[in-house]
Amino acid sequence: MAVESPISWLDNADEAFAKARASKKLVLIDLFNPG
Amino acid sequence: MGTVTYPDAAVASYISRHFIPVQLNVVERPEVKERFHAHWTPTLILFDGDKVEYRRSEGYVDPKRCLGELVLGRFKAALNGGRYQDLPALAREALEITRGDAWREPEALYWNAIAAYRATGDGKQLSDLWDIVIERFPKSDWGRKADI
Repeated sequence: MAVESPISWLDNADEAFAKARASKKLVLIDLFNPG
Repeated sequence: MGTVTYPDAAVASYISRHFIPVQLNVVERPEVKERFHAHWTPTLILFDGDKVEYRRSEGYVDPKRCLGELVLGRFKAALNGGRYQDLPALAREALEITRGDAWREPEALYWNAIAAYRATGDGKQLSDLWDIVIERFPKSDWGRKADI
């Protein structure tokens, strides 16, 4: 059964880099295989 | 990761506070494996907004070890970015999070010494704190790095 993630994941790395530049946060990229 | 690590409240909170999180499905989007030079999953990579990479972890990590990866990545970003004033607090956080983690605790101790040295310029403090790594984790890679 799928578990709902409490994390608001993006699916666009470039959008994340832009947000990180604006916020001074780091980007966490999780590459995953759903299988 | 999706069934144990990310639903963990401490992990979710930490990620939400300190990171812009991105999940990329390598089956639906195989090109991301080339883009990020990642050919095994799960792979976690920490970057700053300028796409400078600070840490990478391949393979499953449980919540505690995931938190260790995240805090050590934040420490490295502060160190490499010259934000030395942030290092002592991040080092304390890393020591707390990695306590009992045989792989990451010696690394946190090693960087704790660097944090103190960067804050004070005191070489004896660096040496004294590295002695703790050597004493507690003599066979670890970090213990050997400190033993110079």
